[in-house]
Amino acid sequence: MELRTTGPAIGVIDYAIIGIYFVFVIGVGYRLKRQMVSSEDFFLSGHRIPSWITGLAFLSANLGAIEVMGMAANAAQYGIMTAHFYWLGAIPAMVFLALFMMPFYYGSKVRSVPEYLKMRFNEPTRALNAISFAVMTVLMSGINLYAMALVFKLLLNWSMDASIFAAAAVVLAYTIMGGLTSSIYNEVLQFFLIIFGLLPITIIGLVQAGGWDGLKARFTDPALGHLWMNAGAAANPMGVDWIALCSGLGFVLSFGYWCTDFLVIQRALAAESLAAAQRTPLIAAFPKIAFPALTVLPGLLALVLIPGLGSNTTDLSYNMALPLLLPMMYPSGMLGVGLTAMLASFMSGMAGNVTAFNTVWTYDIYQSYLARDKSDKHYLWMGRAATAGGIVISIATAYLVMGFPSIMDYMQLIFSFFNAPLFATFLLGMFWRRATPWGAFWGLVAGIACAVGHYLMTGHEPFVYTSVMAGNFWRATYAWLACFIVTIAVSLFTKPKPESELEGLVWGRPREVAAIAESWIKRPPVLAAIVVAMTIVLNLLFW
Amino acid sequence: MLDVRLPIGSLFLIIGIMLVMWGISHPVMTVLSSAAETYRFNLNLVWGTVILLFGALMLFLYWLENKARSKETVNEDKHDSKA
Repeated sequence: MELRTTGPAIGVIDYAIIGIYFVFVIGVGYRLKRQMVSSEDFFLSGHRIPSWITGLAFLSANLGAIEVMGMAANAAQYGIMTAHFYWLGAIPAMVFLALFMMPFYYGSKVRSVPEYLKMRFNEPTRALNAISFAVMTVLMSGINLYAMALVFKLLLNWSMDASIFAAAAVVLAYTIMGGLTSSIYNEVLQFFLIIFGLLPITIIGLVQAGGWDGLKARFTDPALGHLWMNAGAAANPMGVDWIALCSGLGFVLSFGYWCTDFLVIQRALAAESLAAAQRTPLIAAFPKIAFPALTVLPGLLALVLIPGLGSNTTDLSYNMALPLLLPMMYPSGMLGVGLTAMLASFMSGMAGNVTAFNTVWTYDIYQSYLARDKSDKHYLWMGRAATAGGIVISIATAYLVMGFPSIMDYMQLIFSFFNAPLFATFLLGMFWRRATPWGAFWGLVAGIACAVGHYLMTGHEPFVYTSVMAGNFWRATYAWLACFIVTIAVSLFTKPKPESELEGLVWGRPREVAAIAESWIKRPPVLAAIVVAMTIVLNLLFW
Repeated sequence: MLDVRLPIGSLFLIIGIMLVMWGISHPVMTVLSSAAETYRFNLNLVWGTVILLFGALMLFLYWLENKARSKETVNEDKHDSKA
């Protein structure tokens, strides 16, 4: 196969397109600034955003470096089994969030995930979660900066320091002016940029390879083209058997991320009604089903098109699978659009983390423990200060990530520490009335301790795994189990909260919500059924 | 509240126009040769048109809604500036 695009390296048109994008991003922030009157406006967009916008923002808040570079890198390394992150992991979790958990989140009128834990359990549980979440978001947000700087260094030879500081300055400008709304609007903008910037790669690549069958025929290892066929044992490219896949990825990691991570939940809380909040993850699920076409497929194409991909040099590491395809396939002009799309995804991934961080910091740490009973204006000011602080820490963590060999390993490691045990806390908290405040607290402590212990023991018998990914999946499973068991055990010996305090927080004690008559297609269960059916079909198609 | 379709529509319209003009003034052909057929196309021109049409569609939707709710919007704006 021969691919010829005789385009020059980056030219004036590409810089012009990147420049226009910057102008728009900052312009949107500036335009929204005068609407940010109260802290509620700044942190929760005043609960005024329609569900199609929150849905797209829900999707693109996590469409940062992780998804765009990480999934392509994973696909180049592990084959189409990477699509399990979508069709086994994300989609079922998003449906579960919409149908079963959103009524408690939105219905209890909490402003953040830690605040829910306070209402359902107690202050210490909330404090533990707020602090670990704040640490996690800034650790994550640095990944985006680092990945962006890496791409622009290798493709355009920009200085890494300059890219890190320039991108951080732009994100600072628009989040500090427009808060969550600004972040959400730019996420929606970025969503379309990713589609229009990356879709031609998939189309051109597939035509060139002779469709999916043609591409499959070119894999050196035919197992790279199957989702489940080789998952009976761990002898597949991912080194993970179906048990670890379903428990680690399908259940703990995905549900932990999509159902408890405030970064994504916050987008749904900005919706205008409970039904709109429930629709948010469902509307996001439809494009999410198709996203492997933009992330996994290019990774598979890169594997076939870029000789030597996956060797140990930075220039040809799996992480570079997608960025390397851009100059191969795009002439100057489209190259600018592709680069802008990547830039946008890194910036919005970072902005998502920063806006979640400033909310949790201001409401759950600052207002709760450091400065109670200040004016709303003061908290709005603190939100802006936390935004700036969060960005400065992100810059620091960007340099920290540089010390890790793989972006994806770094991320899954952090998720297995914080999100995996938290999901057990939520599951028990929302669906088991007997779960007690101290049960939740010690369960969380046990889960995090178990993840850290497992991380330190990985590589020593019996914790030896065929791939880093397999280690991550098992670590998540163990951390979840530890939290689940300890929460139940401690709960049985401690005093539960009185029933009257659990109203609207636990399954079986919902707050009365007036049903709004809506057309059948807008009803959450109907949307959920369609999403699930489509996902099952895809699992069978790529069996 | 600012309608998100306005910035999306204008950004994509502008990028689309830039790509189309660049594609015409600096034509670069992408040549795809699969086993069966060979395709030649000016990617900037083709995809620039797609982007341009998307931008125009967003702006059209924005304009439609604005027109339908022009009275409401005026009131909202007044409310905004007061706040």
